[in-house]
Amino acid sequence: MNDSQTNDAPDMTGSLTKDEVIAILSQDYALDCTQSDPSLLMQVPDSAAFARFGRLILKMALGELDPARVPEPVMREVLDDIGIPIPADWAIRFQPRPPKTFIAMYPGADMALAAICRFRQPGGDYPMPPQYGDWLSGSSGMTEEQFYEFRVGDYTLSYCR
Amino acid sequence: MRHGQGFDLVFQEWLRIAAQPAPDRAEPAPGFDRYEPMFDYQPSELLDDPASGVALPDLLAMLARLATQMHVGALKVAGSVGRVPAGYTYLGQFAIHDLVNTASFRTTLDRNLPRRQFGSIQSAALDLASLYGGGPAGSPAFFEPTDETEHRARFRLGWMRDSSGDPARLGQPTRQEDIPRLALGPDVGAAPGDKRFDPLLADTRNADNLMISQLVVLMMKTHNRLYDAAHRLAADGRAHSRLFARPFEAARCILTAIYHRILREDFLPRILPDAALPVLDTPAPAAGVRLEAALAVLRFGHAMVQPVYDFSAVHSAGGPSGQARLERLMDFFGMHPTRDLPADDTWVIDWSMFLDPLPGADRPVRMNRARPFGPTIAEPLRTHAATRIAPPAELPALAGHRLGLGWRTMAKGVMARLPTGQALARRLVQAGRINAGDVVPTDALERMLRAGRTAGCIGERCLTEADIAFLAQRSPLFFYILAEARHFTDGDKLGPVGGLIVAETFASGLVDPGFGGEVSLRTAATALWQELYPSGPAMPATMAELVAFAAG
Repeated sequence: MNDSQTNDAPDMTGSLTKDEVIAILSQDYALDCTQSDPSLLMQVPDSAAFARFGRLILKMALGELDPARVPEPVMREVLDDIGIPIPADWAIRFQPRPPKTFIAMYPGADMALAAICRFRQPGGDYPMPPQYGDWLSGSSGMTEEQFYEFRVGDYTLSYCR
Repeated sequence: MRHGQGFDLVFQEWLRIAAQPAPDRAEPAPGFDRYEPMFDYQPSELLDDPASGVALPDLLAMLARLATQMHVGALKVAGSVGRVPAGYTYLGQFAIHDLVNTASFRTTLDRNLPRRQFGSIQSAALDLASLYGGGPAGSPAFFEPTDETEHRARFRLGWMRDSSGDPARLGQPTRQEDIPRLALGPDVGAAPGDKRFDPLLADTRNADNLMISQLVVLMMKTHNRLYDAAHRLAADGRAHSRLFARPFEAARCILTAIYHRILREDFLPRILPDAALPVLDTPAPAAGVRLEAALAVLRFGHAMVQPVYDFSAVHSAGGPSGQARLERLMDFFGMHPTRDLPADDTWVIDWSMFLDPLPGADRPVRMNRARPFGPTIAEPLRTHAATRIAPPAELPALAGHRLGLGWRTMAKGVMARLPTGQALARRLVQAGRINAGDVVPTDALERMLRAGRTAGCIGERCLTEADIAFLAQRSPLFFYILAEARHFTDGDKLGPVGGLIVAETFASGLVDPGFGGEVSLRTAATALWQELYPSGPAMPATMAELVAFAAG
């Protein structure tokens, strides 16, 4: 390390002040999109799966379905039935959110890189499920509760995809 | 006009007729009597036989539950990929559009049309009328005007916008890779601010989704390439065959022969069971398109459609946009709001993702395959604006159901007074056309219907036990031919009844019509091709070869 680097390198240890957090948020992402691997972004073939998954999540939330009582092979088959393919080498975990705790589970660096980099390449666009457009245009055919189930499924499943 | 236009109005009229006492509804609904049935059925053989004990409204509600189950059953990912490369789903759709049109609103031809003969009077030949329309004379808008004269002979193509990122070209139309689309607006009588695009095709059903419209582009480009070569040969005075005196007709002859060859040698062997293949070589000249084919059997392709596709480098699992959803690909029809029109060139289809590679070529990293043949239909074909139907107010039992293509197809079957699948199978056994063992056993149908009640039925109304008991004995023909495919071939191909009817219908449509005074279109096309390309390439016999030829 030379003298110029000693003065310019950011301190990667220790607590950040509020001003330092704001400064980081204000800068563009430091991306190397040559390292981006879009195949990491899990594809759900049919967005109709989200509503059914949302019901599953809400059943768990209400205590009507205890995930601990569902063996993983059974859960894997149920998820497959409703259109959510879990790769065979992935584990399956359902966890309740503890009360009065703000939890945000953020994706791994490689997945975030893949998700953001797509917008910086020609033709890259956001894979919006059609239900949102249909809802806004009034042609979805869903009730408020059904749309809520769909939303729960989408944001629970998508993990910032 | 797009699929299903006018269905609501026809359905309203039919409900009124169906509510009348039985003798007055012995006939099919208006518009559904154009095709002749294969047999003269007894009332007990029809799905809507009043003596079955199920009143018509309850039957339609039962079909809604069956259709729901078929749609949600398609969510299941395991077993959702079949053997047939997905490109053939759309070749099949194109060919069936060429053969059949059951649209409710017809031309003045209807006024004097004998009943039940539309299937033989309509061009049931596979002659690319759906592509050429009336030709340059009858349908000039589909063909490019030339600078010198009004002579038109090349298909008009549409443009896609540059997406390379080059600032000098960004957004400019640079690639002629789309079907022609008419931008709506005041100049063409639409409202100001109308952002829709009207497909400019002889058969607008061929703009239904981007796969089939890109297939149309492939055919158009092939025609244009053939025409250019024929025109040059004739203009240079080097043509020997008198058929080059009309280069447009020569190109059409060759393209039609290629199309026939691909259907017979590439497409049909992939979907027909072995027992049905000999039928292709022994056509019954009077067969034409029958009622059972037009309203049920030829709709097998609905079950092949996938909800997502790897479409191009950008729109695929390995690309920045991810796989293309079917809904988005259907929005390219143009008459629903979509931000994807005018299209950019990320939407030029990569046919290698839809077809087997040429011999010796590398297998692509990703290739889409059609769904296996079976009683499931992709969910977007229930929910998309083009296919969904509001439950009729006259049928309160349907309230809350989300009705789409599956229900519409089976409801049309009821309106057309189709037989049950079992009744048709038994008739074919009696006629010696299939074997007794080729009828799907009732218990097999029961198991299939019961197994269809997957976790996908969450929040939906799927079949009841009473429904299963009824439908296992009296299945809608559309459901039956898909179920028999799963039962007899594990979804690899069509089954005995479906395979036989598809084979007969295509055999009739592929009868060589001759050309330009020649007895055989195929012979004429071969001679023309050899004059155009004496050193090769060979005339395409597969879809992959056609793609390679069109790309030049």
